[in-house]
Amino acid sequence: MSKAPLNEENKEILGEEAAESTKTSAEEKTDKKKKPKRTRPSRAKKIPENETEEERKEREKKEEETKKKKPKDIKTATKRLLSYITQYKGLLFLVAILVIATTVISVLSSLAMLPVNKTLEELIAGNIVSGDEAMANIIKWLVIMAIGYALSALCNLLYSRIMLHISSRTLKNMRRDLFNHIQGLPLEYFDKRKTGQIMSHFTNDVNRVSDLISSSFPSLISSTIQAVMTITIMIVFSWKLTLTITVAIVLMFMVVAIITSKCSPLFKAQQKAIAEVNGFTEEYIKGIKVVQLFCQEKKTKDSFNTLNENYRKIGVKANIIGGFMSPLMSMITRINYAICVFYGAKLVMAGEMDVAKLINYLNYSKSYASPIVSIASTYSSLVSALAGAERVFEVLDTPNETDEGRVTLVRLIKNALGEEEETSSKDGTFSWKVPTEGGFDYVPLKGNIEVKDVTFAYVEGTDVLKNINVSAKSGNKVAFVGSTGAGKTTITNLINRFYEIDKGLITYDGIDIKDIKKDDLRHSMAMVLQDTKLFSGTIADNIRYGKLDATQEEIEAAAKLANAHSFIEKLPDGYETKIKADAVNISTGQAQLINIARAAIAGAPLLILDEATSSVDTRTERLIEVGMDKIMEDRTVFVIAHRLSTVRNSDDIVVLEHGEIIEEGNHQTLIDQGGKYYQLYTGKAEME
Amino acid sequence: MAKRFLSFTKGYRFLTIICPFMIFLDVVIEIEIPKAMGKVVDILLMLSAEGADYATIQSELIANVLKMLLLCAFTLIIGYIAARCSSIASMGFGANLRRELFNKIQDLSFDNIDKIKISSLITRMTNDVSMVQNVYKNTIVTFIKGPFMLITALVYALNISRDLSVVFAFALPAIVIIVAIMGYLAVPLFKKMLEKTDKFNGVLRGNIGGIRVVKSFVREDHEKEKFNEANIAVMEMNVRAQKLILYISPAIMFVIYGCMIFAMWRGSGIIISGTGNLTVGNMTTFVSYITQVLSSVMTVMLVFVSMIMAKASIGRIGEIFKQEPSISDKAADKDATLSDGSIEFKNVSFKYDSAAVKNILEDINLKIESGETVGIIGGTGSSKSTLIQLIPRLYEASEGEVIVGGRNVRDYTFENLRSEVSVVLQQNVLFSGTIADNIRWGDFSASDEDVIEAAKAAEAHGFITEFEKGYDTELGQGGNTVSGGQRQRLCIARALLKKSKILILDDSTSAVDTATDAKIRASLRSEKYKDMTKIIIAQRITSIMDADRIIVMEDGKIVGMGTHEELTKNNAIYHEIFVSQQEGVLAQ
Repeated sequence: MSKAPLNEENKEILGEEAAESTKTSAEEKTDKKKKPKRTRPSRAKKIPENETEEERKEREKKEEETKKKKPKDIKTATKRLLSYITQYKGLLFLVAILVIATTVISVLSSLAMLPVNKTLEELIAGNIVSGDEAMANIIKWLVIMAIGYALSALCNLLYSRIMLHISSRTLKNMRRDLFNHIQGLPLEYFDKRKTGQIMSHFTNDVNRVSDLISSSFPSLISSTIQAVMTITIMIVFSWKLTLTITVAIVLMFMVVAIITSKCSPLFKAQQKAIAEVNGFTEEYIKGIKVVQLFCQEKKTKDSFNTLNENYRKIGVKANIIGGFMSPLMSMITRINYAICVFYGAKLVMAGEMDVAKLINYLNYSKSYASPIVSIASTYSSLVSALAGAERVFEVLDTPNETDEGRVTLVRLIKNALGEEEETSSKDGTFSWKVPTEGGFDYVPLKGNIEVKDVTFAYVEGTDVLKNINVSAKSGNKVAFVGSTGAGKTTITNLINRFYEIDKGLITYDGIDIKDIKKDDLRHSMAMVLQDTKLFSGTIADNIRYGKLDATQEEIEAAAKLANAHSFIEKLPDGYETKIKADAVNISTGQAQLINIARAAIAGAPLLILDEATSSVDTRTERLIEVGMDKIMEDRTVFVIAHRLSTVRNSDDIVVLEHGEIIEEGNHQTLIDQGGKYYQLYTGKAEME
Repeated sequence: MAKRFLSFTKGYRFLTIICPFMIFLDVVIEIEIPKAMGKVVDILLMLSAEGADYATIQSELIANVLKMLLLCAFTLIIGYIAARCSSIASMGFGANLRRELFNKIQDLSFDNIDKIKISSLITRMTNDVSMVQNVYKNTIVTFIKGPFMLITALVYALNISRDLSVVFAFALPAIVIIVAIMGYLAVPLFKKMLEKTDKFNGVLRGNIGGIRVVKSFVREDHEKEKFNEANIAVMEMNVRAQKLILYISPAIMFVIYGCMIFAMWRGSGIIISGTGNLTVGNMTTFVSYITQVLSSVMTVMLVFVSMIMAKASIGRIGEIFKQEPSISDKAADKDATLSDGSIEFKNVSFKYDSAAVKNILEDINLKIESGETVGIIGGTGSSKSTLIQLIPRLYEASEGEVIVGGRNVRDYTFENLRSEVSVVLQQNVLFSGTIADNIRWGDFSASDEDVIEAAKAAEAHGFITEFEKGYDTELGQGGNTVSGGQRQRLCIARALLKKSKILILDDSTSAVDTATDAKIRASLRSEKYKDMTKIIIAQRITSIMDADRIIVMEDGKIVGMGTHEELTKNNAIYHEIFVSQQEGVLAQ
């Protein structure tokens, strides 16, 4: 009658976590499939030098597997985990005391059975004559028992409540720390991983830790105490009889060990099988229109069925073994019971023991098994929780973006004396504050960018950019043209320091961007990115993202510049239209216009447009042009576009191929040159 | 709907019935065991009596203990059979449900899918199905075991002592009420918690997916705030919901212990007064029945609560089964095939929702000859894509007739119609598998040469052979390993391999550079694909200017038709689009 398993049972039956776990397992699977493409050997630990690609993959796979299975360093993981709960030291101490109290009281309460039975027995044997006397005695013990049980239930309630408080807060704190930490991680971290993989740290890993804290911790304490007490009491009753249980305990541990070792690969296989089913489901439901167009419904159904059957077969096996555990355990306890009955009877007959003691002993011998089973099974959840904790700590240990920049962005305003003075007022003009020996210099923010001899590689040895030189002054529009993979987006990734350059120099208003504080550097530019990422929330919220304190007028003005105002107005809820998770309610082109409005409202002197209008049809693009020209006025603009009509009016067109600049100039010069740009252009001219 | 869900037990019905039967046996034996144990106690008590006959006692003990062990062995066997039956039956049920649901989804028509949304279909196929499967398993094991256990234990308890059994009259309703109240209060809380969790996941997913935006606008702090809000909301809801659950266990323990003490008090009284034929052993047995009876009531109640929680899932799955494919080919003539690649729209109007006021396509009349190449151009929202999706009957015209290959599209089976109409959709979906596998979707019996030929025509052969493994290169899920332009070309190759009479390219070269685009169109003009009717939708005017005929669409209407030369002269919209794309060239 232990309480902890009762709690666990509730959870299992309610199946509250079932949904989450199946989903994330599918995500995990897809994560594994797509190996990180960009690896920086310099950051990895020790890598054998002469290994082939195959060997490397194999090793990485192994490493990953061992990582998933068990914690590498239990001590450190435990220590750090403890640091999360030490702030609840007092409460935890209280919990421990309450758990011990609960267990001790409830075991002791059941001891009250002893005098009750004894009294009745003596009455039968004729040692007590008065029924009233016997009854009074019995009632006395029953009252003690009742008080004991009530107390233990109360303690149970109290400690469960406290544990809920601790575990839910630890869960929240861990998630908060994780989130706060990943906000500072370099972009490389995100590029290497899939969203689902990062999310599983927040769900699976953290949940396991919180389960450990909320249920395993108290149940481990209570089970241990229960087991120890029960066995002690049994020894007190009869050490001879108790000896017989050692065999049973060994047998039980063996059964648990065998079944767990048999089950865990099966459960893993089951997880994998369901992940496969879910992965297939996701892929083919997303592609359902293609399936129907190619009349491949039957083939798809058949492939699905193969996976589904596979899952069914593995699942049956895993469940049978799992379901067989408890009858097996009770069999062992009962055999032990039988042995005790005979041996006990023998002892009684020999006069070494009285019957009441034997009966009580037999009662206890029914209950020592359950805490032992629960200890044995807690171990596996402990291991998986520590492994989860370790993965969380791994994320927390990933170094942040490096930022040694000391140059900051400030607003200056002329004071009454005509001197420049820092201000927080919005009327101030932006300026770089450059620390010098013994003071500061102010450099006005203009938006002049100089890229000098820049070379860069995501993976060492494969240069994505080679000796790039580009310069842009305020009011200039510079375009990057070239095929996919030529390195256009990479240049912009370097300017905003998403990635750090390997060789060369980039300056902003003459200041090396490495010296500028990252946040301030990024404040000084606005980007419209290739993927039309909008956040859930309203359209107004999404535009306001560029300037958090923007007024409704500012938002509408920006939307007008981006030519988004007219379609937003037509939506039933206008600017308050909620963007749904998969952004089904607006088209990709419209999402791009909102992105442009978001960048426009930011008001930075440098604007980077990366395929910003690729999904906008050319007529609409023409309509935006007026607004765009307005947005670009007095700003430095970098444009990346596939559509050459978008870049034609740039001051400078940079043609990239395999990371190198092969041509540069304005539209006319490049056409006159008759090089690559001309060819790209005549791809279209040829048609006439 | 219950009937439909029952049908998923097909093939496992025998086991599903066997399972509770086994559990029934198990219950009976489980009840017999305490009885045997009680008997053993009574026999042992005889030891303390004056002048006990040790020999008789010993033989009785052996008989009873052996009986107990035999019963145990039985439970072991029955337990194994029950575990086997229940897992086969529940996994089978889950597999059937999953298969039928997947099959059903495959047969839904496009507007059914649009209505339910793809992401929602996926969660229903994964989360909801697992939920229902779990509940099914719990139901056949616990839900049936519970009442059995309850009734049998009650009968035995009554047998031992009617006087003592009075406790159940109070305890049973008490437990039912406790769990019912908790369930009633907890279910909405758990639902709310799921909502908060969804929101939490949404914020997290949005942040990780949009990390470039976050970083480039330096909005980390803003995001932290947003996350913190969602995080705390989840925590608070979780504490509120779990708090209720916390009370269940002590409350139930309270009732159980209360009953035990009551039974022992009353029992002792009876034994002392000698009014009933109650023995100490009987009383011990009775006390263990109390736990059995009450805990089985509790499990039944908890399964009940979980069923209520699964109701939403069952409803969501049922909703899919209830969908009638809005387009069916049941009335089609199975032998009808397309005589040629001609297409005709006769007074066709279309709207997605029959209740909508405005038509998406308005009174379209258009005749395309077999072998003709037709370009369609128009702004976003001009319904170009909708128009061509009526040809393979992905959607059904609300009014008017769509005639393909000489007959109304409704006369053909989907298979006959769609095998002659290749469409490269705007969303280019590839599947995991090799490049060759993906191209073979067009024709699974195609030879390697055919596959290569199609890839060459789609200008994909070049980049494919540059891959280390060539045509055997594995594409990740959703074809993520190739770039957008490459994906489009693979999709075109896949469509070409189908060798159908009609080919429709819906803006399918937007990510391909102009020169490659031109080469693809040149190979479409080659001898091999010459007789194919081709419809090309494009944003780039260069992609369609060499078509035999160009259709200009706006707001669901055809506003211009003719060759490039004609349209540049007499169609204002076309001219405007042309100028917007040609300014640089004209300026020279």
